[in-house]
Amino acid sequence: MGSIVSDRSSKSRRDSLSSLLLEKKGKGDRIFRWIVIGASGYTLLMLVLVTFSVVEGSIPVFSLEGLGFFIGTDWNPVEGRESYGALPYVVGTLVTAGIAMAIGVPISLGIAVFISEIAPPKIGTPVAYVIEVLAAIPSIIYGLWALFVFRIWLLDYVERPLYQAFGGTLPFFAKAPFGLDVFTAGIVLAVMIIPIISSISREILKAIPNSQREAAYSLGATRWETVRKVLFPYAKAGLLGATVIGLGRAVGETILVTMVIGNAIGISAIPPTLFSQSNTISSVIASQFNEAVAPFHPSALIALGAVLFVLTMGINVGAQLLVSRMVKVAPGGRE
Amino acid sequence: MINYQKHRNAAVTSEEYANTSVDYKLSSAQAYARGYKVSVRNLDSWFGVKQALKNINFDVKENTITSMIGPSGCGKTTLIRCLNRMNEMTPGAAVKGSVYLDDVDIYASGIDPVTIKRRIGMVFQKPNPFPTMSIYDNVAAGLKLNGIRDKKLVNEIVEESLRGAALWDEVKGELGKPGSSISGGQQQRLCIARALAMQPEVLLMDEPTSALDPIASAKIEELLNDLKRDLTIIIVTHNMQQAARVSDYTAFMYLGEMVEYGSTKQIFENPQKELTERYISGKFG
Amino acid sequence: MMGDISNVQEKRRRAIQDAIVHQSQKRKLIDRVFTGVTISCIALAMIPLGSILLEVVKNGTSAMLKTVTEFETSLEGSQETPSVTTSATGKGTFLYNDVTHELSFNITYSGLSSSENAAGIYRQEAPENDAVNLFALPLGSPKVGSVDLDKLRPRAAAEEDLFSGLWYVIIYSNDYPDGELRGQILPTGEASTSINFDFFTQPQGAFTTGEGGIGPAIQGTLIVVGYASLIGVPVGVLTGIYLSEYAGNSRFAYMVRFFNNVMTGMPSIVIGIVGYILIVLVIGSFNITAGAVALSIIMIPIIVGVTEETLKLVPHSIREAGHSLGIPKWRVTLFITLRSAKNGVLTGIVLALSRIAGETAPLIMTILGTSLFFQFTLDGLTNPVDALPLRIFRLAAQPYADAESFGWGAALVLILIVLSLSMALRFLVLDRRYRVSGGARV
Repeated sequence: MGSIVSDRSSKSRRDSLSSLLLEKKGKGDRIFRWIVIGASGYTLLMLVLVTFSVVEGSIPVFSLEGLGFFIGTDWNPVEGRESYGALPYVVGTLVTAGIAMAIGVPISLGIAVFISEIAPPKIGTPVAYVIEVLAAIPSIIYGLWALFVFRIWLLDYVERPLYQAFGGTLPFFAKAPFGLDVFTAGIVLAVMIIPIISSISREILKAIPNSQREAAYSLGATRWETVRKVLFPYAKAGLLGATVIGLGRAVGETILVTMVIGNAIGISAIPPTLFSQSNTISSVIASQFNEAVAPFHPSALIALGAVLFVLTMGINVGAQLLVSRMVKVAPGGRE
Repeated sequence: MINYQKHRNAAVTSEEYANTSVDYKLSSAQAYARGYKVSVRNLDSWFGVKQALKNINFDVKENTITSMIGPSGCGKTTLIRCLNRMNEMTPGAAVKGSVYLDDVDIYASGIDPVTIKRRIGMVFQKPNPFPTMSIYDNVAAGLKLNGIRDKKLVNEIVEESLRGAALWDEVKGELGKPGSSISGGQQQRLCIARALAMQPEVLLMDEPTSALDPIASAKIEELLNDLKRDLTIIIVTHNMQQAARVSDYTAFMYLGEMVEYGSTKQIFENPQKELTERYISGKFG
Repeated sequence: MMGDISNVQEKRRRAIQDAIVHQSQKRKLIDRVFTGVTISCIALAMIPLGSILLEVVKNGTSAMLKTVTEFETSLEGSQETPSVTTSATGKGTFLYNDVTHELSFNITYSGLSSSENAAGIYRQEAPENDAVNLFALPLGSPKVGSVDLDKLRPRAAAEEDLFSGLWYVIIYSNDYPDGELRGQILPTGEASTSINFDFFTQPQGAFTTGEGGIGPAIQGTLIVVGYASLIGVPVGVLTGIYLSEYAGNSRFAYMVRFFNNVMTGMPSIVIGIVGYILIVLVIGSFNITAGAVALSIIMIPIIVGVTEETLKLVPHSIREAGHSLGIPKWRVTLFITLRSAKNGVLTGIVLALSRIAGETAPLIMTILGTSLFFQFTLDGLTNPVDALPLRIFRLAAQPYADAESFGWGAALVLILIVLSLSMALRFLVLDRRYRVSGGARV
C-alpha cells in the first residue's frame, strides 16, 4: 500500500494544489440559479404570450360582431358585408369529437385492459410498443391516408350500405354520402386518439395495487368480473381523466379533420346527419387562414382560435384534476 | 480527559473571524502549534423541531484516527456531517455553534461551504461511484470539475490516490472501465481514492465498511493506518471492535450528546461513565 | 332429528355447489367473450396502422423511384400498310423515363430508295383506324433525340398506348410518299428501376408534368426543426433542471409545473396563432422564425416534463458524492446529475423533435410554404420556407395524380425522418458501455 504523501515534493505539490482549489470561488452558482429561473420564467411567459396573442387577434371581430359571434351562424368573408359566427363550427367540433370518443374510448379501454390484465408480458409489451407507433405517426399522414385510402373503403363498405339500409328511417343517415363528412372525420379521429387514451389508461391500471386484484381473484372472480367490479371502479377518476385527455386531443386536432370533413361553411356547416359535410373550429382556421384577405377575416379565424383555446384549457385542467386525484386517492384512500 | 481550559484560551472566537476575508489560507504554523486539527465548540443541531445534537464539544488531534460510536439514532452521523457542512444540505436542518478547522470556524459568516468540502473530504456508507464515469474519471472528477486541466498533474494524482486507497494494483490496467463494474469493496476504495484526490486535510468516513464483506472491510481498515500519516480521520462506526482495532481516540455518543471522549484504550478498558461502560459491554445497542 | 338437519344441510350445500358450477360455466363464457372483445379491440387498432404503413411505403416508394423502360423497333417496308417492297431497313432503340416522361430514341436506317422527306411517330389503334401523328422526327440517319410525353394529354393514356405497342415509326421518302419504312415500337422487356434523386433535391416542377421533387420541403423541415430546437432544448432542459434541483415548494415552481402541464394539451393551431401575431405581423411576411418559435413552444413542455422526471430518478447519493468533493452545485447538477440522467433526457428531446417534425397546423399560420429553397442569409430568416407536413397538405389539395404521388413520397420521407431520429438516439448517443450492465463482480 502506498502512502499518499511520501516525500517533500509531493507535500509541496499538495499545498499548491490546495491553494489552487481553495482560490476558486463560486459565482457560478448564483449565475446558474438565475439562468434556470429565467428559463422557467420563459415557460410561464409562453402561456401569457398565447393568451395575449389570441386576445389581441380576436378584438377586431368582436368589435364587429360583439358577443353575438359565439352564437352566430353567418360566415361571410366578403369585404363590406362581413359577418361571422362561430356556432356551426363549435357544433361541428362537438359532433366529430363525440363520434371519435364514442368509438375510441371503448376500444382504448379494451386495449388497455388487454395489455395490462390479460396478455402475458411477452405479448403485452410488443403490443404496447406497436400501439405507441400509432401515436408517433404525424397527423398529416393520417389525413393523407384517410383522404386517399380509408375514405374510399369507408364509403363503399360502411356509408353506402348504411344509407341504403337506414337512409329512409333514421335521420342520422338520411343523406347520400360521398366520403367527406363528419362520420369519416370522427372515425379517423378515433383511430388517432386511441394510443393516447390507451396508454394513459394502462398507466392508471398499473397504479392499482396488486392486492386489489389478488383479493378479487382469490374470491374466484373471473377476469371480466375483476375488471368490471373492482378495477374500473377503483380507477374511475383516473380513467375518466384519460378519457378527458383524449377528448382534448380530439377537439384540438386540426389537419386530419381538415382533409376529410368536407369543408362546409356558415349555417350549412351544422351537420344534420352523420354524412353531412361540416367544419370544426380548427379545420376552418386551417383551410381559410392563408386566403383570408377581407379585413376582419383573419381576426374572425383567430377569435375561433380563442374559443378553441378556452375550450381545451377547460378540458385539460379538468383532466389534470381527475388524474391527480386518482394518484392521490389510490394508495388505499377513501373517496 | 481533554483539557478544554487550555484549548479555550488559545481558541479564537467566531466573531473575530466573521470579519476577516473569506479566504482562510492554510496557516501551518498556527495549526502545528496547537496540535489540534478539528475543534468543535457548543455545537447544536436540529431537524425541524427535533434536536439531534446537544452541546457537542471536543477536539481532534492531527494525524489521528478518531472513531464515533453509539447506538442508532445517537447523532453520530449528524455530527460527522456537520464537520464538513454537508448537514445543512438536508432540508429542515439547522446548526448552531462552531467547528474549527485549524483555527478558523467553518460556520463563520462569509465562509463558502463549497470550499470547506475541498479541505474536508467524505466517504459514505454505501459506495457511490459516479455510474456514468470510468474508474479514472471517478477519481479525477473532483479535480476536473474544479477546473484543474493539467493532464499530467491529473494523471499523477489519480495514480497516487488509487495507490493511497490500495486499489491501484487491482485496477491499473482497466482505468477505463465503468466505476460501477467493480466489486463493492473495490467501489468503496474507489470512493476513498476519489476523496483523496482532492488532497484533503481531514477525511470523514460514515460507516465506510458497514455495506461490505469482512475481507473488504479488513482491507479498508488496513488502509486507514497508512492514511493517517497525512490526514486526520474521523470515522463513524457501529462496530465497536472496529473502533477498538482502528482508532486512536474514541467518542461515545448517546441521544445527541457526547457522553465520553478519550483515547481508545481508556474508553474500552477504563470507561469513566456508566453509560459508556454499559454500551461497551453490549448491554444495549 | 340430527339426521334430518344434516340431510337438509347436505342438500343445501349441494344445491349451492351446483349453482356455483352452473354459474361458473356462464361466467367463464362471459369471461371468454370479454377476452375476445379486448383482442378484437387490439385488432381494430392494428388494422389502420398496418394499412397506413403499407400505403405510405407502397405509394411513397413508387414516387421515389424512376423506371427506365427499353423499347425497340425494326423498320421494314413490309410493315407498311399496304406493304411495300424495298431493300431499305432500319432499327431503333428507345428508352422511356417515367419521371421526366421523355422517350429518347436512337433510330438508324440504310438503303433508302430516295431521299427522306419526313419521319414521325404515330399511333394507330387498329389497322382500320386512322393514324394519328404524335411527334415529328428529325431527318437523316442516325436520328437521336427525345420526345416529351407531357405534351400529350392525357399523359397517362399516352403512356398506356406506348406500352401496349400502339405506336410506330414511319419514314417517308420521295419515291414512297405514303411511307417507305415502318416499325412498331415494342417493349423489349428490359427495364431498370433506380432511385430518383431528383425527388429529394429538386423543387416541384410544373404541376402536370410530375417532375421535380420535394427538395425544398425536406430542407425546410430539417432547418425549421433545428431552428426550433435552438430555443426549445435549452429552455426545456434548464426548466426541467430548475424544477428538479432548485425549486422548493414555492408558488413559482407550482405555477411553472402547472402551466407546462397545461401547455402540453394546447392545440397546435392555437400555438400557431402566437407565431402569427407576434412575428409574422411584426416582420410583415410569413417567415421561418415564426414557425421555429411556434414549434419551440410545442417542444418545451414535453422536454420539461421528461427532464424533470428523469432527473428526479437519479439517486440522491450521486449528488451527495459530488457535493462532498467540494464541487459547486451548478457543476454537480450539469456534469454529474444531468450526466447520469442523460439517456432519459435525450429520449425526451428526441420525442419532442419527432413530434414537431410532423406538425402541420402551426406551420400553416407561420411559414406559409413555398417552392423555393431556404436562403442561408439573414433575409432568409424573415422569409417563408417549405416543410414536409405543409407540402403534403398542399399536395393533397391538388387534383393531379402526380401531386398525390408526391404526397405519398413526402409522407414516406417524413416517417423515415421521424424513425431515424429514434434510431440515431439509440445507436449514436446512448453510452453503450454503460447500457449493458454486467453487474458488479463480487
